[in-house]
Amino acid sequence: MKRLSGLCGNTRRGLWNDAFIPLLLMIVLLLFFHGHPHLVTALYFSSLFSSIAQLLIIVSGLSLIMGCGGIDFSIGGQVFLIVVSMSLCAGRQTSPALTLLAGLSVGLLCGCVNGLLVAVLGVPSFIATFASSFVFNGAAKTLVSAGAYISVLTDTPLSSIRLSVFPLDFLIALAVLALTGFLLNRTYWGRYILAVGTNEPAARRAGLHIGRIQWSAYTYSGLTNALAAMVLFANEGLAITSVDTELMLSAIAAVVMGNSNLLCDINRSVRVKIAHIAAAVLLLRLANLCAGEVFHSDYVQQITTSVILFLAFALDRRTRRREQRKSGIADWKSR
Amino acid sequence: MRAELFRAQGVDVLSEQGAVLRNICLSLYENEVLGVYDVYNGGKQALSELVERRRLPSAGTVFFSGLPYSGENAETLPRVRRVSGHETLNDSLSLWENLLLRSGQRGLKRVSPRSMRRCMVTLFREYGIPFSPEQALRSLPPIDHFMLELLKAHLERVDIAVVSDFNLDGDSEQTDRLRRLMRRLSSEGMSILVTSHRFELLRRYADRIALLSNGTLLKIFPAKLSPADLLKRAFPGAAGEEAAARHHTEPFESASVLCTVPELPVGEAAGTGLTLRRGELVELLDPSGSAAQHLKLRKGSDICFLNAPVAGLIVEELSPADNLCLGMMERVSRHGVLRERPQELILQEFAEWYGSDIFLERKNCRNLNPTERIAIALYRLRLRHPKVLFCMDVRRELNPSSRKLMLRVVRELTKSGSAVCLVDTNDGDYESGADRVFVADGSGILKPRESAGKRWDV
Repeated sequence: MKRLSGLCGNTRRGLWNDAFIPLLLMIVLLLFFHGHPHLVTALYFSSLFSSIAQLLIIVSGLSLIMGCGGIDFSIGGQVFLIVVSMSLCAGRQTSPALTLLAGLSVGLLCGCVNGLLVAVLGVPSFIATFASSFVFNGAAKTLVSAGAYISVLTDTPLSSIRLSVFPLDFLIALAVLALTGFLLNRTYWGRYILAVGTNEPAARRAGLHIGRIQWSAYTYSGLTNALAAMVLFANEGLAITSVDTELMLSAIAAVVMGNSNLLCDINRSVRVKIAHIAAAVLLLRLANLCAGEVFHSDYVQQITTSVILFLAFALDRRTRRREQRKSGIADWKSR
Repeated sequence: MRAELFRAQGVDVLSEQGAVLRNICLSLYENEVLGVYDVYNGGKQALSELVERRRLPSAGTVFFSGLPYSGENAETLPRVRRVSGHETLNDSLSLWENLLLRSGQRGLKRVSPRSMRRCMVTLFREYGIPFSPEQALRSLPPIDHFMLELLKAHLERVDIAVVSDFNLDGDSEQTDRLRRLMRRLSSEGMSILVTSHRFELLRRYADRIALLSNGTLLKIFPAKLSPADLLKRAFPGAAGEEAAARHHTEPFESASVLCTVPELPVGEAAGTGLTLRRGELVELLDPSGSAAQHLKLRKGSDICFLNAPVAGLIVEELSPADNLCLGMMERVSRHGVLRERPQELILQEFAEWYGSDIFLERKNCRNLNPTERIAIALYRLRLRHPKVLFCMDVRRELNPSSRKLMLRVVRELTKSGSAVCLVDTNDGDYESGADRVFVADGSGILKPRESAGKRWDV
């Protein structure tokens, strides 16, 4: 009976965890569109989806890194460097395929460098990626100052190609997110990443190559960053001219909110988590829009994102403690 | 850790008079001087010839640098040279000429005598040889010939020098000189095998002494022991100790070495080796804990460790099936994608093995009790089937039912050919039924205990 009641409790808690983010999103959506009824149009939804496409792609890579217990602060720098290198290729009239290949290569290289720093040299991911963000940013700025950076205006941005209300860049982002979910949920590589992230000593004792797994996660993240930069490049034809700190902050907030680093049942909820990440990205975007509308300032958006991140971390911490208490690890020996 | 240059594993050598070596298990490591003592010449001679690759064993296997040797020549084999004091030296030549005159070389063409002499003066000074290079070899006493020939072997980058049947006396200065040179050369990478029928000479020069009697290896012990200890170890009087010594040196049935830890630091001294053979269970009681620390450094895909604490054995967030396959998921996946059916089968087999089906419905391992967690970790080891398993001081963490499970897995692993070593820092009776039990007695020696050989009762 005790076991049964425990299971029921777990199920209730699981349902609440699963429904929390979607419910919050629904509430924010209702509040937002209640205040702006004229915005309930297909065009506005399409532009809303397009605005979160880049973040969704970045978040899918970052969720793997955070899944294996790391962090990446160099996202902005990577995207900046990739876009600059792509514009360099495009400005020299190279073929589009070569431009894309250059972007992918630079992304992979950035991911590899981060992975090597963390996995091989053993530098803490916080320090390694923080330092490498300056390296990538510096390299990109050097290229820009050397005149390599050229703005290339595109005739048909990806966001203008739509399937119903869904723009192409958003669909690409969903595909990348689904691929990440598949990798996490259905491949042994994904299980190994989750094992390393949740209990590294146990994973090590089970014979996993921790460094190799961490390195592969960073490399995958570099690849998704390259895809995000491509989407940015294809939409706008020109790049950001500095490291976009809001991008990094939003990505981390979305992953934390999307429950990827929490103690949910992994087998059941990887799919749910991926959906949560997508919902969290949309939620963040809407919260930023709301804050922009209320305070009429772009800087308030960063504050909003930070506050949401703090709240998400606090909630994460609280959930962890509760789960650990209830799992009864502490009183093993007394049994 | 020193490399093993030569190893005889269960070696028999037959001659016309009968067996000169019987079931010899002996290793020669890098940077060591190994003495071989035998009253009669046959065993020493046969062993020297085995090392020099002039003879093949009648039974058993000889390994050079870890590879079995069957008579073929290869560049990877260590270079071996016999040193006898007159093997490659010419009495009528000067010292520097003797050093440069390699075996098989006809003359000293393309050599500038003046520059060579200068080189030799430097060399002699560096190695502490108080002679002039111009001096004729015949002016030196015979014991110094050995010294010169060892130096020559070193210049020719010989890996193993075999000083065969060394029985020359000298004054204290000559002896010290030769010993210093041997130490110096062995520290620079050369291994020296000295065979003799004079025990006191071997004690003077060797690091370890192997005691042969009627072709059988009785004992190997460090040469630094006091005479009383040496006598006690070399000629054990008590029947129990004799039996224990025999058990210690006796190769395990169908023996094949899976893992060798040549320098196991137990107690204050170092230098005792531990060898694990196929299908045997060894228990090592090490109160100081230094052996356990040393063993933890061993790496290899076929070497596994089971160690405390039990909280770090499984990943709680993964399902029992995932935990059972952790580290081996490649086997239950196709092109990287996990297949559910093999995992389900493994889980069902595990449930049958454990005798409980509570794992079948679980999505994670959070609420499992310690015994269930240890059962998952042990079954994973069983699936992984390592060649060598070290159980590091797990007794403290295990309750009786978990211990029973552990012994069950150990039994299954040893039956299927793995070697298992139970390392415990407490000197308690494991009741594990180990084939060999060693107690680190603080003097740097692994002492075999008489309780070895009991079969377990699980």
